[in-house]
Amino acid sequence: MPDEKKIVFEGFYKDYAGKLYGVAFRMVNNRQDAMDIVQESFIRAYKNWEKFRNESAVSTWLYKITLNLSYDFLKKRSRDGILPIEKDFEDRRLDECHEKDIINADIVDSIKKEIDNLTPKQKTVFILKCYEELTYEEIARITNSRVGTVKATYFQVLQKIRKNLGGKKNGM
Amino acid sequence: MVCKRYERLLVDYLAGELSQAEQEAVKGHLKECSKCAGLFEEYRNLLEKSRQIDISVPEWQVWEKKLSEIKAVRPYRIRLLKPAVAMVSLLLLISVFFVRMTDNEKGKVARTGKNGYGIVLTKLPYPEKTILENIEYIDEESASKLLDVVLDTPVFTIDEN
Repeated sequence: MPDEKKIVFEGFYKDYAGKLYGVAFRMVNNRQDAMDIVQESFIRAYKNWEKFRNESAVSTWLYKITLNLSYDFLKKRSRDGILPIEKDFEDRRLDECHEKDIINADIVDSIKKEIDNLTPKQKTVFILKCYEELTYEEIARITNSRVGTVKATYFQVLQKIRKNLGGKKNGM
Repeated sequence: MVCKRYERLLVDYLAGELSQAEQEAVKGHLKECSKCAGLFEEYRNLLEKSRQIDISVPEWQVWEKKLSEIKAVRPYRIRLLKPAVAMVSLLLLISVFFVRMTDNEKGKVARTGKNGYGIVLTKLPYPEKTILENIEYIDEESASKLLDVVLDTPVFTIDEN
């Protein structure tokens, strides 16, 4: 690979490694598995680097491959009956002791559980919209769906979580 | 009762996916409808709390180490050349073998030890036993007539024992 392209690749790596880790981690809930998924995504990108034409194509491709690897991983884990052994979410409850903060942490924890219970496709749309702040159109490109489908899925997810948290309205 | 049409618009509004006109319409409606305003707050809080589910991303040093591992991987283009090179090498070997087969020792004179000289009737390479079964023995004089150069420098010697 020419040096110029290597520099561009490294730039992408710096910009996207953390983002993709966030996506993979939120999908599989395990630090090492998320690291492996990101590593594999970038290896595949590196191998195909000369084929990419523009930045948008690369970022879409990177998200796509990370999600596909995450789906494969989840399928394998479910087939093997393995549960994620490590959770690496920041546990803010340990740092706070005020009652209000504990209630807030409880709600955050409930939301996390709700997200974990979403289907992989629902989780994907929610992660890409809520955390990656991508547009419906970008998400549609990544997930190979229609903008309307993405829009409807996102609405259904928020509606579902809101309804399921109905009993925990403090602070909401 | 919450206005059904607005519930979806509220989510899209929070997602930053509405046009200027739609945003104005939502804002106007929220001022007039307290139930929709309450629902809007619920969704806003839900998203805010969802974003509090933070994760710790590994330090750059970790990624830097991984980057060098990634860069050690060869791009597909070069990897695809490998089998191509292997294929060309194999073809070259096969052609050299066939050239040798056509340019074999058949018809040449062999010194066979105690039975003297003979003309090899089979193609080479073959095991010595096969050669001995396919040899026409001739006396030294005939061998000399057939291939006079061979007498002093036979092509090869076969041990019949």
